[in-house]
Amino acid sequence: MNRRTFLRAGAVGAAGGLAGCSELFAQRSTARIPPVLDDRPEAVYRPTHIEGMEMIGTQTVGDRTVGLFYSFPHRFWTVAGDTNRVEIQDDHSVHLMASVWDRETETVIPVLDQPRFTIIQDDSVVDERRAWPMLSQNMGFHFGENVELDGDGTYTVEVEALPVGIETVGAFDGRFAAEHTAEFTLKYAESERNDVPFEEFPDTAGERAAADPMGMSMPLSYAPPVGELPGSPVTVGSVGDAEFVATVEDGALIVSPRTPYNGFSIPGFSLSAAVESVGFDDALTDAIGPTLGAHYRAELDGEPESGDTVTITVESPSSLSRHEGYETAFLERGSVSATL
Amino acid sequence: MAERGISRRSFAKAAVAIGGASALVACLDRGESDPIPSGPADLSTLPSRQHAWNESLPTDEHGNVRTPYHHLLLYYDYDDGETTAGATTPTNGERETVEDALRSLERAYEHSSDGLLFTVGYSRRYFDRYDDSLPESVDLPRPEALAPFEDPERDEADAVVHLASDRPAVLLEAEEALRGNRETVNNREMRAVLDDVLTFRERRTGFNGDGLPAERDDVEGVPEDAVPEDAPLYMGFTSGFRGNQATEDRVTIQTGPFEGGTTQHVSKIRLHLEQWYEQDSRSQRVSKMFCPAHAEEDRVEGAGHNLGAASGANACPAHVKDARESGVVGHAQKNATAREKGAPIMLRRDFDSTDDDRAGLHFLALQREIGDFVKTREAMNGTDAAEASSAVGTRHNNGILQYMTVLRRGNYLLPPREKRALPRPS
Repeated sequence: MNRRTFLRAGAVGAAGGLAGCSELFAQRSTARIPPVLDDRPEAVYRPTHIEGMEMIGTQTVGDRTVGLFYSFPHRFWTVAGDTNRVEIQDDHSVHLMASVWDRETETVIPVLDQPRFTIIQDDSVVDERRAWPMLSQNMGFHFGENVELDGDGTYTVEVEALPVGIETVGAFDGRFAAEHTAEFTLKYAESERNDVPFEEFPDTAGERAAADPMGMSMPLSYAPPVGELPGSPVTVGSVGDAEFVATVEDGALIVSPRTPYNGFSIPGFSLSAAVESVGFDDALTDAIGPTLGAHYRAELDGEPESGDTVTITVESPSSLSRHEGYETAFLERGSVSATL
Repeated sequence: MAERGISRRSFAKAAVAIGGASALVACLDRGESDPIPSGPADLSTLPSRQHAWNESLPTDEHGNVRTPYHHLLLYYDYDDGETTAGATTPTNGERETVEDALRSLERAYEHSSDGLLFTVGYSRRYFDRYDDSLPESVDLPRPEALAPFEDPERDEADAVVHLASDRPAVLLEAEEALRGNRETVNNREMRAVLDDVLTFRERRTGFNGDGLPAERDDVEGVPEDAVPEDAPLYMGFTSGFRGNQATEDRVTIQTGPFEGGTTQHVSKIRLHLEQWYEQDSRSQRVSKMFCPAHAEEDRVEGAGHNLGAASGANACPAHVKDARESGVVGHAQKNATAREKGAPIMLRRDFDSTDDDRAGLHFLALQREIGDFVKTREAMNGTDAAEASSAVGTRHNNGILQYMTVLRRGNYLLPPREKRALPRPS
């Protein structure tokens, strides 16, 4: 695939496009990144700004395709017990983002792995990082990290595609078990990086909304629309602004949490559920399937009937790292119930 | 300004890592000229266990044994040929040479961290050249990967000498003498040279002591000025608490021809601490090193010297439960499960390193059986935590696995002192 710049779709993108090149150029220094809002809702919110991205390429390795992208170095948040804001370091050149999807169905495989990014020039390693599993409003799930380059030039970037440690169901049964390394060539010029769109939302930042997903021809980590889930799916409720949808298929309880507005699936929660009528009250395991995408599930001993109550409990926050606008969401614990 | 190369001060700081006669001179120039205490005339007063160091090491006010500040590993092969059964085996004359060299060191230096402590170990590959096999009382497998997510090279040199001292000059002088580059050690005669019998392969170096890693943060893998001044290791926390270390008795082989010996595991680990220091908060680091409850309740001050004689991991919730409820699980918390009747089974004598100009860790541990190490490492892998909690990944929020890569692993038998020179398997 050729290198292309991908812009966000929708009104926001159009407005950005009309803002004029000179203005965008003027805003491209990381020093111009607006400060984090003082008053953020404990929910998904529209960030102060959003950055476009440049595709480095895609590579198919075994049963998976890896897409690699870069943008400006980002501030982001890590989650481990508490949430920590990661500041951009002076020597960071770009934010590298990798997305991994099934080569056949193009289902994104969002797992809590930390694939290594190795950046090589003239046979020596320029930087080497284990990327964080993260979530952003314009890209959804990806593996990302700020990395250091040694100025303009051509680099080889190796990205690991690791064996997935979660349950694979349906046509994915037994897939994604091997380890591969995808190799990319990055022809980097700082001036080209500075052409990556950078857009502020001075009037709407902090609103309970989200920036639109980018409109581009690559798979994103969407949860299936409620109507496309098997069985009789119900929207159970929200915890920490994550929307939980549940259904029963072939004796298995399926729980599909997604982000509000953009509908990305949310891995990284520790979840349990109860369906009293069939005597189920236990932890859910994380799984991925071709139509269900990333979800949580458990086998039930009996088939619940319409009218039975399902309760979903968030035991721990999603441990995904977050781009701005998601760092205050998906952190609450609590239960929601609904009638199947 | 003219090119000055490495300054004398930083050369002395890096002396053990650099090695050789000029490094020794740099150490001595730096004022390391206090007399070095010499060893006993009667060597039978020395412990019969090579690994019996604790009695000779200082302890802090909590009774924690402080490992020597500086460490050196020297790797040797007996010969270049095949090591299958029926190959050339050491002669008694060669055994005498090795023993003479080691005894020369013992006479020259006090058995202490102010003098010199050392052990000699042998790999499975060394013993494979004999027709006889090792007895069942010795558990010494060839090294192998100990996690599904690692791919280490096997270290299979025939022998490894571990030297430790608080004084860099002692290590450098002893090394030069073992290798035949000087005739005296601490003004005493070196009666034999190890290199006359063994082929030198490799040296690895390191340090463990408050402030030493902070002084040595000018290498890849650790951000500058990030390591706390009071930390003995690069990750910023103290370790080797009395309550978390196996006793020397627990790691000692109890029966058979190697009774009084022990096994040693040495892994070479690369550290990646940019994320640890630049992207994790202090609280996240405490959660990942100890457990989330230690972070929530602010139990760890600075490098954790306030914890006293134990990491306090028994005050952490069960690790699988914490993985589910906190979404993160601590290293100490996981390792606390690898115990026998409540007592630790592994004795750490690990040290950090600037070898290859990268922040690293030589994880050296003693245990009665290599199986005890494997058990401890399995606990550290946290596979059960990752399976139980969708918030914990293979490495992600799973202790400190994210910040290290195991490059090499080696297993060795440390025979009792009387059999330390090129032992037969039975």
